[in-house]
Order: sequence, then structure tokens, then C-alpha cells
Amino acid sequence: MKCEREQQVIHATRNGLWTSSLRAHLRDCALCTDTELIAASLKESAATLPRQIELPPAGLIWRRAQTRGRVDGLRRATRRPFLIVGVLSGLYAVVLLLWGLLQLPQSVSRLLITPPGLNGNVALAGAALSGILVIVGSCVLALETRR
Amino acid sequence: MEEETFHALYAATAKPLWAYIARVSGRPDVANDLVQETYCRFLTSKIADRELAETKPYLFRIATNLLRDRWRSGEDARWSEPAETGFERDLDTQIDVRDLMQQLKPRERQLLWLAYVEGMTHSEIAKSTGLRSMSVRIVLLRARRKAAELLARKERAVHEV
Repeated sequence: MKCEREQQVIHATRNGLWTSSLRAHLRDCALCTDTELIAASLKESAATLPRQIELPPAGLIWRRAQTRGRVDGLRRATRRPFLIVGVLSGLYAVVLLLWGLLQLPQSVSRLLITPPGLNGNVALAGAALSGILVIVGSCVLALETRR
Repeated sequence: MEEETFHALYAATAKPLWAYIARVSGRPDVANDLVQETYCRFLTSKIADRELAETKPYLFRIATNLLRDRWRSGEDARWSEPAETGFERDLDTQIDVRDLMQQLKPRERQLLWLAYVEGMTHSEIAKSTGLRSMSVRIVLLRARRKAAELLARKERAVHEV
């Protein structure tokens, strides 16, 4: 159910500019009578509001938006480099770990048999450990970047 | 957007936007917060340089989304509202529009306000709410019927008294 003149009734209620034909139409159209009733009530309700409004100053919102814009811009600008560094460190860690794994069985056996040979394998063990740390670090970095 | 242009836009749109949020949420404090957030989001978006005619529905869209987010996160009880402070009762007609709005669903309140107070067309309401024009027509028809019924009932009650 729709009346072609409904929009005119809404505008007339908002502006107070009623034509005689629209007034006459309002008497005959139940739909537009409802529309006028609702629009008038809501308009009256809206008219009571401005007295209570304490809007924040536009300048304050402007400055806040500028600050937020700068923070967002910085976040966007640093997001990609952080992501690239994270991915590269992840790749480095994987390669290092694979290399370490290939070397590890021999070194471990040597460690077990001849403890004095420990010095020679410290670098290898350190590399494996740093590889693990880099993996953990890059995971944390990637998670932080995503967040 | 230049700061002066924003000041002009703010002067032209802030009060209607505040009234919309206040009446739909039923809470002036929420309106104060959301008006600020709406303009901040608007200014940091790419749409900020468009014409006023295009800007207004977009501002209402941001505000509508923020209201919806509040309801979804449970910050406001979805269909019930706390008692308002600071709203005046309509003493002339004894018809309290606040009561009327409370009996409507948030979506219905939004559409009624945009249609009857802001004078938006169905397509403008669709832009402001993210609904399709057909859905706007259906929801608005239902809301109008419900509102007319409630208002007529209250008017009858006033006349009887």
C-alpha cells in the first residue's frame, strides 16, 4: 500500500508549507493521515532536542581525526616492511634450521663420545638455537603485525 | 578536506546526526560519543572530499554501523533502553515520542527517523543504512503501521482523559 503524495506530505509537515490540494488529499487519504501524524510527532520530538545538545567543538574533532589519521598512516606505512622482514627472517630461520639438522647427528655423536670436542660444536649448537629463536621471533612479529 | 570546510559541514550536519543517534539509541551520552567517532571515521576515510549531498547519507551510514556494533557487542541492551535523562516530554499533546520509539525495533526507529525527520527518500535511506531499497520500503511500511497504531491509541487515551 503506497500513496504517491506521501513524500509531499512529509515535506509539508517538515516545512509547514501546505497547499490546499494537499490538505484536501489529507482528508481523504488514510495513509497520508498516518504519515502526517507520525511525521508531526517526530518533528515535534526533534524540535525539543537542540536545547539539550552539547556538541563537542568541531576543532577538537578535527584535531583528533588528524592525529588518528597520522597514526593510521604510520601503521599502514610500517605494516609492509614489518611483514617483509618477518617473512625473510622466517625463511632464514628455516634454511638455518635445515642446515643445522643435517649437521646435528654427527656433532651430537661426537659430543657424546669425546667431550673435549665440544668446542668445535658450540657454533653449530648456537646456530641451531639462534634458528629456533629467530623462528619464534618472526612468529611473534608476524602475529603483532597482523594485529 | 580543509578544516574550514569541515567546520561548515559539522555545523550543517552534527545536530541532525546527534538527534538521530539519541532517538534511535535512546541515550544522549551514547549520541555524544558516537557523533565524535562518526566524524573521526569520516575524516580519516577517502570519502571526506565529496559533496555535502553525498556526504550526509555517508555520515548517517557510519553512525548506523556504530550503533549496530554497540548492539552486537552488547554495550547496549538491544531492544530495551535505560531511562533517559535530559529528554523532555511533549507536554502539549501528551504523546511521548520516546515511549513510541521504545516500542519499536531499532531498525524501525532508524527508518522512521530518516524518512520523517530527515525527509530522506527510500534510496537515500538505503544508502544510510546499508539496506536494499525494497527492504527499506517493507520495513518502513511495517514501522509506519505500528507507529500510527501506537500514536492513535495514545491520542484516544488522551481524549478519554
